[in-house]
Amino acid sequence: MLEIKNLCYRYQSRNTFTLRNINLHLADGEMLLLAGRSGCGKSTLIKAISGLLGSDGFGEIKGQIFLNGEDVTHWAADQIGCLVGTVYQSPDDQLFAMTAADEVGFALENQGKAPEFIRQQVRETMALVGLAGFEDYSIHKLSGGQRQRLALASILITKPRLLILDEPVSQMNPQGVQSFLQLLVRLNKQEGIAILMIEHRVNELCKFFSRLAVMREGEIIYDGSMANAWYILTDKQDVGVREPQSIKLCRALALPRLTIDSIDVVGMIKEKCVLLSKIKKEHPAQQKKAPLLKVEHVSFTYPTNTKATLKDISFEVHPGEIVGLMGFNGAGKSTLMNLLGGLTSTENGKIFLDTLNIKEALGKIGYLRQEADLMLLADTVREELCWQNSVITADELKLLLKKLNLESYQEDFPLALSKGQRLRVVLGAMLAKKPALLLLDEPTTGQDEQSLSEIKQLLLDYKNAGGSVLICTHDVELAAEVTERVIVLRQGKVLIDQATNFVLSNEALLKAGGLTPSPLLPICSQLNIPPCVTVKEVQRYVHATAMGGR
Amino acid sequence: MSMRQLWEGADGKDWLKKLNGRTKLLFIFFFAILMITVDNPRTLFYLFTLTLLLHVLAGTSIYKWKVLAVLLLLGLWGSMFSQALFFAQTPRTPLFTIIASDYGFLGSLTGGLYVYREGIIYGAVQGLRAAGMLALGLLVCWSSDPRQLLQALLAWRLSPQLAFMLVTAIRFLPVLAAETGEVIIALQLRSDSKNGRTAIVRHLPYIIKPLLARCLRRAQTLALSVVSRGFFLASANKQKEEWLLREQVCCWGLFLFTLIIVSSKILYLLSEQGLYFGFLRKIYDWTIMFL
Repeated sequence: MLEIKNLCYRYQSRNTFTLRNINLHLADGEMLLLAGRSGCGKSTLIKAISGLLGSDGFGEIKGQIFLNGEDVTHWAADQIGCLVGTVYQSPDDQLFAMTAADEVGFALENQGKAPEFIRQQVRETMALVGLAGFEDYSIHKLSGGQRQRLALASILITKPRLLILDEPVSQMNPQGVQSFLQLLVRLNKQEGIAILMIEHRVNELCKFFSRLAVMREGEIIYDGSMANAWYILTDKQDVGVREPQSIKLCRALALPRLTIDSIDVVGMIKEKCVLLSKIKKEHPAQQKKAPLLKVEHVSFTYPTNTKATLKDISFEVHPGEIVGLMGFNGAGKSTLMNLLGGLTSTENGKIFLDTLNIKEALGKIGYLRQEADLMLLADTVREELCWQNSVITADELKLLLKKLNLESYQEDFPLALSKGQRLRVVLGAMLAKKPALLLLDEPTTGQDEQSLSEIKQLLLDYKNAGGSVLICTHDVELAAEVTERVIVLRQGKVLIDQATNFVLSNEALLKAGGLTPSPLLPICSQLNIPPCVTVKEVQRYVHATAMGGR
Repeated sequence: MSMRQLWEGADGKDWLKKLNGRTKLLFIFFFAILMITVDNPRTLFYLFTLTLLLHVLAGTSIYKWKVLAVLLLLGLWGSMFSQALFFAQTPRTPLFTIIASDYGFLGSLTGGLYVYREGIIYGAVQGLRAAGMLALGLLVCWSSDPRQLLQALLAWRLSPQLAFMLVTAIRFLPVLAAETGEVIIALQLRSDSKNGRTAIVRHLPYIIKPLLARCLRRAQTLALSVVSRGFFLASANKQKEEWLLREQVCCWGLFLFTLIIVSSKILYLLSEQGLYFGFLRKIYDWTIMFL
């Protein structure tokens, strides 16, 4: 289907090649996951395949791209569009029409097909992606997941043999990801469409793909089976690939094989490691200080709704504590965050920060919303960190830049940085104001493994310095690693507010809260050790006595 | 209704939504010429009223009426008030005095500040022109799918690239409106004071950069998306949307009406310059009275 031979590409404005000697083969009906750090050239490769680079004549292109045996290196994008369909990260950016049916039929209209034929194809394609009955809906009335399906349908209607997806699930919750991937697998099996997908979240997607390619600095450093990828990537931890927790466990225990199969992992652990049934508590329970944030019986109803979004919510956050806020989409998490951030006012109930009413203490709260880019407004990173900030000194700024790993970018334009760097700039701007409480709404969306580690470290440093964090996330692994307590919301009510390990190891609770259980849980269960949600926890019960033979 | 829904073109009754994009664009075009040509406040008021009547017939929602009312009133009031104070042409008749010319330092500095009758009328004329076009523009925007307008522009053989750029602006209105709100919230959150957390106006100077950056990214992705769906390659092969004969007749009627109005005005202006024809006297009288 797709054959790329020695492809190199240099943008006109750059001295170095962004793509270097790319060789890639994708057979008919094959599924390939392409991963790598932000800025490694993945999107450029997609543009090259889609005909957006070879035909513009601005950059320098070497090598060849074949589609169905034809050299399409210099074909125009609209010619290639008949063979290849591309779905981008944000559905909002790629949808053009106002109603779902018009959007799906757009490509056929461009081909000059008859209206009756278009109507029929639209009906069939929308049914294929699970949107039957939504034909006359305004695209803005569809949910995020439905809009992404609509974007997919608008491409599928041309019956492409190759589907390219550029981080299509990066903004979806775990259920959305699973459901979208199941749809892609079905399309692949039933329609025989080859799929090339870019995504960092290899940990969540590895079970759907049998082949993985990894890029670093414009080159493909690995292209092979998913099962073998973990071995090759052992000494390449800087490529941004997010590994499944079971692979991390195998690595940490130096097991002879790296696998996601829990039975295999358990077998190897039983064979090669020493199991401890009881362990000493490492950290004695600390005496709790007076709460920093106190939420008392808060309820909230939006003016246009009759049903309350939040119902009698009460909880506390203590100084130096990181608390996770989790639950289904629509459970009321963002509404609660907006109340705490002072963007909306409570209807019933009270919120206190350090004995002050929340409205009087807004200056002590840093609130990072999901779309962090919208918070960037200065010309340089340094300026961004100091914007409307009267408390930071020059020395503190220097230290903060170092912690953010942005020292060499301090005079750069923030919006021109990579995704991870942009997020760190905004987070840094929040931290620079030395808030007592930090509210983070899905801060790790679309971040690669390195960015994620850097953000985790920043949060832990902040916590160790006495700061408190309330972090809203769907990422169970992140919550397990940084939070001490998790609050799960369900239909506007607190379902549970308990220690992280207790909540994230209880599968019934996870299911009720719309969360994905950690792959470590079945391993712990089969090993008869207490449920663990991080690799470090498992290591407390399992000691790697025999070094593996990898 | 959210900011996004406010600007999306899915409102309006079926008869208006189904009108061909060419009819809508031609109607706006001829109406704009009429609004520029006419100077008579009463006729301008009638034309402006016509646009409001169209909103009634189109079934514009209450929320959109409120937004329309605020925009129109602000525009009209601003225009009349500023012209009333700063009208510089003569003759001008002071209706009342705000600062007398002999009122100390302020009086000597400003030379007196008065509300002029002619200024109010002149402001009303300018305001009604703007208000009429704003009301009609919003009506088309609120009742049109961008594709409909795109097809109209392509049917007139406008370059697909140019047509796409023109229509993209409308496509992005709902998203832009929603995003402006998001940027203001983001700026409130970046503020370090209690007042800054709730203020809107003080953050307005900073909204341009993040908004522009987002727009550029979005526009690039949208362009890639439509290009890969064969928009530019096959635009010549596109099925042209049927333009009903009755709509064409209406457009021709409006064209002839506009032509008559513009011709009358030109003839009258020529007569003022000395090119006077006696047999056209009725036209001159009619122009003075209504135009």
